[in-house]
Amino acid sequence: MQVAFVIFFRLRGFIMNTLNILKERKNQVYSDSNQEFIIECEKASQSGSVSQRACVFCGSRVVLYPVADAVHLVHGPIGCASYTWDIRGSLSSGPQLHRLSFSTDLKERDIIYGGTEKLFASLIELIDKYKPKAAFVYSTCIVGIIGDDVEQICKQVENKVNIPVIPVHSEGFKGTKKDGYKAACEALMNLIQKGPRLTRSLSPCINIMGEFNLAGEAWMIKDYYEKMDIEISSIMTGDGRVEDIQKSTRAHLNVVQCSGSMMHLAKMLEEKYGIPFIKVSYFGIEDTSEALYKVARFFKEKKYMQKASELVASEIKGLYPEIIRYKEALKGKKAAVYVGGAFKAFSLVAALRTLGMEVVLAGSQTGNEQDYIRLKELTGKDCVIVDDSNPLELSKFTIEKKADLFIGGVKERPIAMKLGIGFCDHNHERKVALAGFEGMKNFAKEVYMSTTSPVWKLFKQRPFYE
Amino acid sequence: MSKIVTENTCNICTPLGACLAIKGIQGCIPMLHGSQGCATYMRRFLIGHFREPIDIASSSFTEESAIFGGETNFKKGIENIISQYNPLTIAIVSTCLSETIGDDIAAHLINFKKIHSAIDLPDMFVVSTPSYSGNYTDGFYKAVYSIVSYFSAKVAGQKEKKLNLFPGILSCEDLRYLKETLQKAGVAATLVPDYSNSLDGGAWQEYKQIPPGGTSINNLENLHNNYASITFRSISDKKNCAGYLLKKKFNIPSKTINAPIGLRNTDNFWKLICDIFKVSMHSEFINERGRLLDAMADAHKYLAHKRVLLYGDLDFIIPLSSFLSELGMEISILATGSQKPRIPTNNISENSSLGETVKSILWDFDFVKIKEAAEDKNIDLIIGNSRGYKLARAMNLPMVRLGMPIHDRMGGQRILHVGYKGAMALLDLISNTLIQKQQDSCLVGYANM
Repeated sequence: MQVAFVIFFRLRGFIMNTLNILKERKNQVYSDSNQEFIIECEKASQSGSVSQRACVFCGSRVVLYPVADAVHLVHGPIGCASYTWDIRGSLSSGPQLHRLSFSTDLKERDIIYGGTEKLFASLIELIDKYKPKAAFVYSTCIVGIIGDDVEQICKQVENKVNIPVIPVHSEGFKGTKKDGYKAACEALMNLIQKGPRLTRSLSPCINIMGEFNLAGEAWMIKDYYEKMDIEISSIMTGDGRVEDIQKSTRAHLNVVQCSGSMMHLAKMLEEKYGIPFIKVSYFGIEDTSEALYKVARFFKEKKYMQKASELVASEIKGLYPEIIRYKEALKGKKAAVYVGGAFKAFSLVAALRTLGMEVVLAGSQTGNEQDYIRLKELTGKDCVIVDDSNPLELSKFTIEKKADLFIGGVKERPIAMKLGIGFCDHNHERKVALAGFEGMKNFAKEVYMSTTSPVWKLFKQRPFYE
Repeated sequence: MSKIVTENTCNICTPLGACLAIKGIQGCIPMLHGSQGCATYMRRFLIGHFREPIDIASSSFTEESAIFGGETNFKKGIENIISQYNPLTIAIVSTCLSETIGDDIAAHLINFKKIHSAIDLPDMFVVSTPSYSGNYTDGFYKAVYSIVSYFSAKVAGQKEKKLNLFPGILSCEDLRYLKETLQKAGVAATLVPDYSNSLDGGAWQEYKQIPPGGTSINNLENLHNNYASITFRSISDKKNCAGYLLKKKFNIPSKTINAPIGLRNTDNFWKLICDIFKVSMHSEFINERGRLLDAMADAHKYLAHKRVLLYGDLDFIIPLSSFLSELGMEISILATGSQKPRIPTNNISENSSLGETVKSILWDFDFVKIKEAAEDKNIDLIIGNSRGYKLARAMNLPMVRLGMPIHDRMGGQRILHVGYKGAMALLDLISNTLIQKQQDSCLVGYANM
């Protein structure tokens, strides 16, 4: 057994915390640039490591909840539904069912006698009240243990109410967040297969996948493609509608963002319906432009590329003066990036480079081997790469590498602010659009405002009494 | 209204309360024995309210653990925590998963200690909090009970004329104020727990594995030597009452009263302190009380007969409702997500003799039921945690955010509720919210209200 051994050195006011990285995690942290780059990933989190990852249910709801005209019912004790009630910035142009929190709220009695009756009654009650186009039932840890036959209940209800009632196998302990994504993709496939069999659209038509319409980003992206005369058959699942998702087989191409969460579905759609897919990102100028060009290239006719080029040119023209202004102040500053999916980290590295910033720490909760190899290629020699990291590691490297900015989510924010550096909220709760060209402007502004706050100078100053 | 499904719950599950209490013990880190999601979501929730880094470990159950038991993950989890955090104490909190599979956590702990008997291990104990029984306040008190049960009388120590104070879930500012005022009154006190520093600390130069602050182990080990215990609770719950435990085991007199929110509850608190410790009311508090009464007089017309919809945790909203009644406000609805306890709640009926306008408590209510109940009540003001904002917005009503969580305003952890000073702060907040509503709705636009 390891015995803790933490030493604090005070060097001219700068403190280095020599933390013992957990033995089992040594290969998930790459911090010695003299060593060959190897990184282990796609593992279950270490017990006691305080990983920033959540569970399988978390992965499922990330993918499915934005379907706004479906009822999302969490089958289990109250906690899972309670902690996830409307914590996301996913917007809908119409129904708002995804912003309500439904739970069978299993109590001791239900654990002992089983919760199937309650589940059945809850579903009927909700479907009767809200008249949704479909219902998703999320199994939580407990359901996996007490053995409620959720599939059976879903079938029974479906026969009664004539809308798709889809079980999501999201028991928290059955894997990691990634398994949650997979469970959600299977639920969506289930939904699509219950829909009508359609022929391909006659005009260019795509599905946008892995885009959750945080702060209206999906609308922005839809607008870009429509300006290129390309129809969006459905967005999965931002501003999602059951009917659109069921008609997604009309599309010629699946454009997949957030490669982790929806790749499984993209592959299934290719296998079953012959719809090819491409991987894109909408963060940063380069990646957003490339996302438009890739689609234009797919549809071959010159006019699509022409429209795309025109669009990109006009957007960038409006954008650059401001970017230059921010770059002046941010040049040479250092950033730490820790996000959920690795694809976002790629785009952020590029976006930060546009602002003249260097990335000194980069990592993700769910990246795979290819992701990390790519990430290493994109970042500098001395950039620390971490997989499935935790507050102690993140803060250690943030301090060691003297980062001026941290980009992450709610659980990373207090680390940055405690240590007195800027923070960019690049997470699913954001209310400010950070995707697309407009998003790049917002991103640059947020990075600038936070990194250059006068508060940090006061942090670093020695108080008068010391 | 016999609804089956819970929509937009008022509840937060039990283990979170336990983790919160544990964060108020010096050098102590909680490990949730169960699925990792629980720890991560609870961290997110608490981080959003306290705006502090909050590390809660998890034994990260896998499918194997669920089938074969969680001992392997338990052991690994403890080892890793010791290695990375070097805590003084680890509190292992159960979750619905570990409880349902009947995982014998106490046995895992005994085995772990046996294997590592040669090493100086941190203190470790278990808190049982299945999330399907009770609310997070129950989890909180259960943890306090476990903490006291584990630590008290670990050393012989010496008798001291000190107070054991179990303040419940109050804000960091409340805890600081209680410590200050007791000190001023000449009464030494141990607060259990005390997260006023650990969950509301200053700027850091380095990341602190375990934030400084919290009730010291030494003080916990000497609780049995102290003079009296006071618990702030409005619901009778002897089974999980640390004060009652100390009374049974060590004969230390124990009193349970409402949290000192409002004039009468604060009077009750100080009267009790003066009686037990034979001190007289400090002149500063007498002045504060005078100022409060004066403020209540100044504000009474803005508040008279205003109808309030109040929801949240009973141990907080019952004393709060008492204060609102003092101000002449009407409690049209008092709702909680908690289930009605089988034992009658003594403290509530005591208060109802003081001219309360609370007709009844709405138990096991979610926000949909609250909205339905509120439809025909002509509510003027909503008071509760941030989760009620949607309701306030839908009903176009002004709202005062009190309780937990406050996720859409700054300073939730710094609101002062207790004492005469806290009452004045609340009075200003409530009055000004109503005045603003009046001013904004008025066509004339007066700057003088």
